[in-house]
Amino acid sequence: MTKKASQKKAERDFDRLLKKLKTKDGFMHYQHDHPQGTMHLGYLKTAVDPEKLEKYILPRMQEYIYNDLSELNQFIPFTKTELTNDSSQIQEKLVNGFVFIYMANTRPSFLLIPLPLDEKRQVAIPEIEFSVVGPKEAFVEDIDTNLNLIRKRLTIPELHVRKLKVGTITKTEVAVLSIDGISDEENVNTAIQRIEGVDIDQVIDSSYIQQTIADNKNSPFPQLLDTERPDRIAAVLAEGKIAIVVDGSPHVLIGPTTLIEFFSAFEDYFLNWMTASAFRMIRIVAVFFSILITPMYVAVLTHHFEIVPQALLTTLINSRAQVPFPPIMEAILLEFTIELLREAGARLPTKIGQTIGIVGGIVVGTAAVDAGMTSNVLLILIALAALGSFTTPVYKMGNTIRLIRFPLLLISHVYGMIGLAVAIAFIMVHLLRLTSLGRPFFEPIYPFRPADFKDALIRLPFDKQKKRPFQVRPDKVNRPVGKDHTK
Amino acid sequence: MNLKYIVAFGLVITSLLINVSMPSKVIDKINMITVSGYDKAEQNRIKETVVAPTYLEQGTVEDHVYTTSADTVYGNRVKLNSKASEQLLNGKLRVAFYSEELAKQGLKTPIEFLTRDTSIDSNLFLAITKVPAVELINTVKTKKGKGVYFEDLFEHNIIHGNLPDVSLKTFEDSLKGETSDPFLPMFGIEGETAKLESLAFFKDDRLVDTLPITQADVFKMLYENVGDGTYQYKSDDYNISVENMESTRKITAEKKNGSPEMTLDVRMTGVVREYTGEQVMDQKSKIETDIAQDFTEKANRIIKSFQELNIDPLKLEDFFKSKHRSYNQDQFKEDYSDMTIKVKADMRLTGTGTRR
Repeated sequence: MTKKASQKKAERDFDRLLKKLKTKDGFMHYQHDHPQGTMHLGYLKTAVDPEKLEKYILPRMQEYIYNDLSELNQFIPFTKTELTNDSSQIQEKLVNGFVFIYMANTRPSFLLIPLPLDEKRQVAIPEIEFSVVGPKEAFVEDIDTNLNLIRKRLTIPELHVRKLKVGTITKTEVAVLSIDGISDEENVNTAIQRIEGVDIDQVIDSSYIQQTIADNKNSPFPQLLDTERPDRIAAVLAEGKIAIVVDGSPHVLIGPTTLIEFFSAFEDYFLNWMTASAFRMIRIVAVFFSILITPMYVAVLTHHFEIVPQALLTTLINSRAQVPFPPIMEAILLEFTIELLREAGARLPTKIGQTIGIVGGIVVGTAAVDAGMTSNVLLILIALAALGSFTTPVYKMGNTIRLIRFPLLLISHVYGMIGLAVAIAFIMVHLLRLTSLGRPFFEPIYPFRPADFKDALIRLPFDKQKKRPFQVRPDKVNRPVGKDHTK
Repeated sequence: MNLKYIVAFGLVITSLLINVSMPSKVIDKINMITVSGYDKAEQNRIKETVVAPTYLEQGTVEDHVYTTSADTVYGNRVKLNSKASEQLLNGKLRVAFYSEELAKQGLKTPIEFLTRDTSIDSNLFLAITKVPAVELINTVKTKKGKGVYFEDLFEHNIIHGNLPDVSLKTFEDSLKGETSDPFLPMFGIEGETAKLESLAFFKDDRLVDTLPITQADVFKMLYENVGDGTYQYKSDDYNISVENMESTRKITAEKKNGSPEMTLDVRMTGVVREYTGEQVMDQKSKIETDIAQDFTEKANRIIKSFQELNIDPLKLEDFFKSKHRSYNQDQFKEDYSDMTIKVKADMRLTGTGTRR
């Protein structure tokens, strides 16, 4: 037996494998006659790049002269090829985008060539965090491209990338980035420990990680900042924060973060510090306005007519003259309409969405006022509140602001301004208790750290920001400062 | 652990549900009183007149005036509410008038309800009416609402005119403090309009004296620092109007031979707006001394009359009490009527307009 018998056995094994593979969808099989015997080439159509296959593999296989697979392997212009006898791992390899070449009567009998089809989006302009000035690159879904975008901006050996696999089914690659010597090891360890502890079967997007490693999972506030701008990631890494890149997600997470960081657009750093500070303040005022204006309208009109200035009374009462509902009803009605428009606009294709926005805004708004369902004043206030919530640079925080308006609305209807004050105090206490990767979320307001105000409500000029934020406890607090040219 | 949150959340929801029908004052379901007037009625009753506006379209206001009399103010409200289409509420009350007759009897009781109600603004304007309050309120015809009309009338007179800063707060402070006597503006009717006629001075809470509003400029500058006043002066040679008057007043008190001696130092600056004589610039120092002298004379006359009536609207006692430990209330009151009170005036013209 011996040689012939073992060959027979190998051929039988291969026939069985081939039969099994042929039941799979998209399995391509190709035979080539060779002096040593028939050669088989097989791959999964959806997993392999056909261009590479036809350009580099087939000509070499058909035209070159070789006696066995290891000789053929010398001609193949790809790294990470494998030679094996083991037919059991073929299936798994095919799924990952390998092509196998089988040659009977030789050992090793399988040559595996990786030709995965790499479908990925081109690096494009940031759409959510668009800025008029500054870099115009955004992350894509591919982790290697994303890491490359970050590395390009931080060409230093200290940039430390730690890769993990998360998700029992998806086995998604997650990378934790930090700069050695600047970021605190404790933050990195916290992040890694929490990511390792994530026990879910699939991680499709960085939001999954954001939610599963959040300090308080029952909070409406996002506790990790997500951004699609590689320049922002590079900047915060240099501040001593850490970044979490998830494969398949064009959003990269930043931690530890603060509440105020959610209201700073990265464009703030491209503008003169005075303009940037002014815009940042406008954004924060807009948020307060957005949260408080409708509850205050309801509270004042229901309980506290005393605080309305005499001159405003005429306007308010006239606009409410035709409305048959109490203020809370008209407020909820309008808020609901606005939320409907927003949801409809978000779910529909862009072009129809725009139309819906206009139709909804103009037609529904004016019709509601004409029909006497709501008052003019409230229509203006709610429209402004909606605008205010859109000024938040981070989409997820904008959603939170939309949400917390509603309980406030109900409370101010029942208890007036006192109820509103208590509810605000409640939210404040919640914010005080929140942490981001174990670091206080409401910093620098509480715990009060005046030094960190340099880049909070306002953004001071760069030469006034000689210290990294204390909130992240950086290993090196002082930033390297160049010569002062003015002296 | 989770139970704690569920219980807390449950309590919040329950409290909201229980209180959802809490009495509310929805802004268009109430009648807001903007002006009220009080007169004496027979059998010691109080006659109340209230103005409650209805807001019509295009910013016009229709005022409803209701009048009744009862033993108490809120007794009146019961009767008034039976006439009004919606509940009458005090929250936006801006002006309260009391008739001269009531003021002579004493205002302590009639204003008591104003200071007790938390919803009433303490910057409410109080005033005395020479005619019955109901008559004054009914005389005024205006499209912007009587409340706004009277409020504006008070405000511009306080900021730019001769009326010192008066409100419910200052009146009540003087009544309770016992170291000064209050004063209030007094209104009368001229033709078809209400008119600010004079300042009414009180001893404790009773009206004792009046000073025409045209002469109140001196009083105002003695009483407080003025930011935008006017001063008219007439002599044999010329007439002059000084506008944009700014003044600071300083009180100094010394104790000589056991009795205090007060000095009121008033420094004024102003701009010439009208002048009938020769060149102002040549006459500048003469005009300044003339005005200062005129001011001193008028001030001395006013202070003299206060001392004769033994009232202290200038808050001199208040000042003395705050600066001198030797202050003794009985002693001061005894000394007050023949205390030496000097007035020093200094006038400076800072501009003469576009002409010399």
